[in-house]
Amino acid sequence: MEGGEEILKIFAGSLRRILERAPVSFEKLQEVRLRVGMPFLCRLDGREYGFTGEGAPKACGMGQDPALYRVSGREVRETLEYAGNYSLYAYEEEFRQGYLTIQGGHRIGVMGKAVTEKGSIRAMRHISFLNIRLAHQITGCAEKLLPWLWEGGQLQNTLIVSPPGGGKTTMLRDVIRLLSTGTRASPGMNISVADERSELAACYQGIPQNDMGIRTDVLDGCPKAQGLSMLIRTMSPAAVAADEIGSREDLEAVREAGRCGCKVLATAHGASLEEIREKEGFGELFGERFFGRYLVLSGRREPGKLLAVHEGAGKLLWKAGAGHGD
Amino acid sequence: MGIKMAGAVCVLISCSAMGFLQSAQIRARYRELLELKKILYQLEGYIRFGSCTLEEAFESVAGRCEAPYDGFFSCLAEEMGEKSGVTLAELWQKAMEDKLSSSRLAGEERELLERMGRDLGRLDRETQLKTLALSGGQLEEARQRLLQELPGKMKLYNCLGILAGVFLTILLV
Repeated sequence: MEGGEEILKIFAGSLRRILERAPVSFEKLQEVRLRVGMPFLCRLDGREYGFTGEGAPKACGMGQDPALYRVSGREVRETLEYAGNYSLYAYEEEFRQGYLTIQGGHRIGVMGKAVTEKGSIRAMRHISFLNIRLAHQITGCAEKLLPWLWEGGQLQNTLIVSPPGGGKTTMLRDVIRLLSTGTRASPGMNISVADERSELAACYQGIPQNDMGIRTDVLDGCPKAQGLSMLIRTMSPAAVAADEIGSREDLEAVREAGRCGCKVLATAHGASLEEIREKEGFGELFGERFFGRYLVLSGRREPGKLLAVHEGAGKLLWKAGAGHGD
Repeated sequence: MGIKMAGAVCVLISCSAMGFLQSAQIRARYRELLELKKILYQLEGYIRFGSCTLEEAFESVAGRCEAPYDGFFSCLAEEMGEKSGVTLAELWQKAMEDKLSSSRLAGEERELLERMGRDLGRLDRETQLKTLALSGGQLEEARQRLLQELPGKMKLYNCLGILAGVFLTILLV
């Protein structure tokens, strides 16, 4: 594999050797999946591939290909041990939520047997499924979006919407970088980021590993709702940002940030504005016209592709393929 | 006669020194057990209150503890940072062989330490802390036993050294 030496280190020895020999580029690698007893699969540039034991990628179609390398339980356990820095207990809270964010901002989804207590998940045992989603900072990817964020010289509260894997985190990261550092069209501004899952800034020991711009403060690993109010009180930001808002607490914190005079930049799962409006809590924000812009991105087939731009009342400002304003 | 006397003095001194050395070894073993127990408390603190990973905790402990454990934990932290595709149990075992070969710990205390390496890094914090507490308890028992035996054993080795010297001197002269 070209590049990505750091990410290779999280894999069990045998899987690491396969990836090392594989003629793939780290930059194009989006996702790697490990399922006990199932083929070792990855998503490369939007397409799914399996690997032979020699590291040759094979396009995966229907059915089971016996030539594909299968992942063992031991390999999943080892990968988890390396990914968790030999200290899985330190990620207990993340495990309860089913994921683990590692150095570099890459997120590993973990599934196995949930141990419940009084109806809530206490721990995760017998972990057998891992989904390693690789974070790539794409500098400049949000430049096209930037003009849509402004109206009458005012930055608008903006919600970036896409299905999982659609590139909304990457896009939000670049929006933050551009607004923070400043562009020819807009001077830089202080931005505070509540990075609950360490995916935006990919902080390592408190220092962002991704370029977040020169006027950005990051609160790493703190729940968004709590983090946003803390950032507003302490860092006096012009804008706050948070990834994947969705819970009632998140939405209330976002609303509160708006009331304090801060602009809000956020992302949410969804395929269209209609889907977002139907979600609990978002409908109310929509009714209040809290967000001045909704930027809808494409799904995982074309990550980062802007599909539509809506203004606060839902009016379509721009649509892909409509032939103007691109 | 003068040579004989000088020889006798040499034998006496060296035998006594061997006895004192042996007694010092036991004292050093006691100090190592005490140091190890202190380290376990520190590790527990880093895990319970600092939410540190083992690599971070080992690195911090290495800077605050005495030999031979400083080398052992800094070696472990370094190897863990390299992520060379080796499990923690294997890294721990290797570091024990490389860095604790000169340690005075007795067989069962070494086994206890080895077991700890196999149990660290597990999924939940509570199990982790209980593992450390259990190892700490066992170490404390070993320390208490040694503390009781310490004065007697030290005296025994000191006397044995001197008496062996006297016996050899009589035998040779």
